Amino acid sequence: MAERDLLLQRLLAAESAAQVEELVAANLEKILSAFPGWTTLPEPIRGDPQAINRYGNKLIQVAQILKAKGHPGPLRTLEGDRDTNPIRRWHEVFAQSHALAEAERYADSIEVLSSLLAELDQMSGSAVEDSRPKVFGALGTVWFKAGDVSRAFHWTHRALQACVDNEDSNGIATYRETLQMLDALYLPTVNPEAGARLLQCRRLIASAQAASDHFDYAESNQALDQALAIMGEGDERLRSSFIGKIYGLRGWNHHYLGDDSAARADTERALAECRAAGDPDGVRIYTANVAFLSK
Amino acid sequence: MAELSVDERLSGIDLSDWAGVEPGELLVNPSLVLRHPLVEAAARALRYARAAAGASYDELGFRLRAATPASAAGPVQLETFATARLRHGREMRRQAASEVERVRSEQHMLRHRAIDFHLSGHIRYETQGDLINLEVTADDGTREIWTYALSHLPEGLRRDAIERDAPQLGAQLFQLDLPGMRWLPVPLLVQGGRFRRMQEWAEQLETTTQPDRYYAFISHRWLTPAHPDPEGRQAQFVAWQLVACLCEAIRVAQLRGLHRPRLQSTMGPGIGAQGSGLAESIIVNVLRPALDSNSLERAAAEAASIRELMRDHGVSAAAADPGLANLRAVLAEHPALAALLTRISVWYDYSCVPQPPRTDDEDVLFRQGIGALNACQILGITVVLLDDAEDYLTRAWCTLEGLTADAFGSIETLVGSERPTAADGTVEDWFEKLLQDRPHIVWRGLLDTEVFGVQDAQTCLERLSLAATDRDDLPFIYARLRTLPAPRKIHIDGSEIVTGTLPLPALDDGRVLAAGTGRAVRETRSGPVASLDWTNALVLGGTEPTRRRIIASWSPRASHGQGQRDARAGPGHRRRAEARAAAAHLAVVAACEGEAVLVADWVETHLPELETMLGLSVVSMSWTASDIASVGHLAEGTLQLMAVEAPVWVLATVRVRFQHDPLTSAIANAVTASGRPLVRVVLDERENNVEGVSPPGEDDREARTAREELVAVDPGAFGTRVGGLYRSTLADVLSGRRNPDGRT
Repeated sequence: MAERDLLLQRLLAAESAAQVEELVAANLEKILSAFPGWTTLPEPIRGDPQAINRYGNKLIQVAQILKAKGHPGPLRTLEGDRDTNPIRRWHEVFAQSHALAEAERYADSIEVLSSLLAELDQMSGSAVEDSRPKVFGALGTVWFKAGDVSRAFHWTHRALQACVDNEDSNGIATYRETLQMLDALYLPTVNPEAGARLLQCRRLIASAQAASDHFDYAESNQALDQALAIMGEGDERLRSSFIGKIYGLRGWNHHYLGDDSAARADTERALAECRAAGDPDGVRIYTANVAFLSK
Repeated sequence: MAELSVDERLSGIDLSDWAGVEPGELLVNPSLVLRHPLVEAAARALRYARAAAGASYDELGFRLRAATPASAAGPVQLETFATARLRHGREMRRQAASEVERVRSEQHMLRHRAIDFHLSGHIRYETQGDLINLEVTADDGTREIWTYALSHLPEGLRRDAIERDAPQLGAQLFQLDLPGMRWLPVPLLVQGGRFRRMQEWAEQLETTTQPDRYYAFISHRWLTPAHPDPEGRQAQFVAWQLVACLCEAIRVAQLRGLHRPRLQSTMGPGIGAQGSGLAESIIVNVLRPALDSNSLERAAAEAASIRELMRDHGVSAAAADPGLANLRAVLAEHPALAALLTRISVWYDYSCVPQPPRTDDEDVLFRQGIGALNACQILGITVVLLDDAEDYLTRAWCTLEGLTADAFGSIETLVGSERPTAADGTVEDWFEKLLQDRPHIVWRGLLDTEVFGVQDAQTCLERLSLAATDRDDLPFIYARLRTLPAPRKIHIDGSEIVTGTLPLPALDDGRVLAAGTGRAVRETRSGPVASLDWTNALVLGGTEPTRRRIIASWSPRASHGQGQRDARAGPGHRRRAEARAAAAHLAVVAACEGEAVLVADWVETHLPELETMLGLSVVSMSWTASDIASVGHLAEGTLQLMAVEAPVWVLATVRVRFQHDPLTSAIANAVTASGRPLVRVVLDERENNVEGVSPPGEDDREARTAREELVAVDPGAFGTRVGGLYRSTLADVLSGRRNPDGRT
């Protein structure tokens, strides 16, 4: 058996995403060279729809890994025409739902996305798993534009969960942020006092960041101190959402004001708060900042 | 049998499912567009656009845009009056939901920010306002997003930054004493509280320019036929925003260093401390000559004390200050600012040119003043005061001023009225885009008139929706418009429609070599080899309108019969072609078919200059048009590929296309990848504009990797595509994602 066929067999036999990634990383050049030939279905499986489905899903998985490594050609080859491959058609459905939402035809947009969701529920594979959270997220966005924050919450939460299941760190970050935004709009409707504090806190932090971006570091720190004062000790919801950001930005400001000792102290506090709050982006970024400030 | 015209060919396209469908409906019901194959999309869009008999150019553009599938379009499609109105309406409705809008707009400011950047891996980026988001994919496939403010880009991302200061004004470089030229010192405007009739303060106007002073040509619309600014609102907005820009310039100079240049990253956006275009221009042309470190500190202290007043670039303060009494009080308390303001003057027609009723002498001065308009715009910076962009752009005088400024690259905008969509004191994005795209529309109207002769000047202006209070001004305005060269900037988007002939190097089997990615195969530039002033190729010019020859998009040269056979040869002919090493193919890339025909005609006439200079014999010529605004007349309206055997290639287009245009890159990349030498002729430069490009060496690893993405395409299978292809669809064909017939 040719070496490339052995490689294909090993890829097909790999049981986990990590194994596939390892094989691709170790055999990158060989896979790039062999991939065009693999797009022709092997003779033994042509009569077996399930085997064809598994084979296609594996090729897509390999092509996605190759794209992430800077080689988009194999995935483009697989995407093909809208009539023969559903992925391209799904892109167009997204485009249609977006255009309808832009035109404020929210009901029509939701109907289009709901139909797509029903179609995805009949299928399986990595492309389907990748697309599902995007549809959930798009539904959340359209419901939000339509003014139904509660439904927007529901669908965005499903998008987040799907991304957690897929270990999609980008998706997780995106939908966490969207939920944060929805929270700011939803909370005032159920708890006006807490909602007002949340909105004010957000406003102060955003203005503090804007001040920093415009080189007004002292003014930024003043706004952050006001945000801390609003937060108080008992408001766990506010604290877990923003305390890491507040201390992280204070650390940033102190660095640019020339006080790296204070910068490091605040950044370490930010890191600790993000760990306690289960904020992986904050942990990632403030770990990097602490390392930088420690040099 | 007579050859079919473009319109006749397009009329064969079945649009029955769009019968009676307005463009607005197509925009909100994209399935009507998406259901058709992408390979037919450009033809359908062209047919749909032209189905509106007698339509204005803007209406053609709107119909074209509505019929363009989202999958073919890029992020920045053509902006028309209708699309700008739609965006404006949407934004107004969003503004009405103020709490939601605030929550949405502040969200990205709540993200965690890193101080430094040190990761490796595959990096993609996107800019989002003043932020840049980097998506880093590590070798193990994990992806992370890192967000930075452009003002605080870490060292690792700033390393290759380019210094790019605002240019010096013409007035800094040379002096012109023209009768009729007058400038209004801004302190005089502030003192007067409004723009006065020129004759009221004629003795106080400046008649010459000086170095170390700043000159702003204010382009604006007249609010009434008799007086441009009866309530003084424009004066309020001009004065306050100029002072606000001055304050901004002072602050940026203090943060960055007075003499340190503005930086631009290799990714495109400006980085570090920097201001608006107008503020940066003031730094270079006013602050650097006028200030030292001590006086800068004094000015900075004054600017800081009124910073709150200038938060929105002075727009709110302007709206609340009829007669400018508040501004006078502010300047009285801030002498350093007031002193700097004495260096700034403006040109405002009502105040700088004699107004009716005029004496005989004033009439002479009036004509001299109008004659000096171009000079004023060249000496200073043109500032467009935008309150109603659509109305502004339908005023013939405003359009002339805007296009003149665009031709010389010095145009900025100021907010002309207080409105919720300009709450931060900057002009709305859709108005800016409309302003940027207008030169392209006007150019196509002029080409239709001057090159193709499809209409007269009056019809041209009508179809461009241009009007003037005094209709007798229109012939003068048209005559001035036709002296302007082709627009300097290009608008790049996947929705450009490509027509003409796309020439590509022939392979031995009759197919052509295509470079689909647009990424440059690394080339060895041998530097400029010569100077050839072909700038007149881009000008309609002359004192009388002339009709051009309509050069076909594929033109073997009649005196080179052997060259014709070489140019279309199959296997076996290549050796003979190579034996005549001086044989060359000349390819023109243009912004539209009208421009292509204009350039091709001129180039064909002047070819002996190039041939003599380089020792070449041009055996064939081609032109390709990549049109963002396909609203003009089409000479061919089709697209074909052509296999070219010539051993040497010459590629002629404008500098910005060599730098940024994917279609130009595709041709250049294919030529260098085929191992043929390429000569670039930069049409909009006069000197050192003929550049030699050699193919990369065999051991060049980066070039080898790029060559892996080269594809062989069968021109026969491609055929002749009526209506052309969207650039994005063509890119799919050239990269092998689509078959040559456009399908998979």
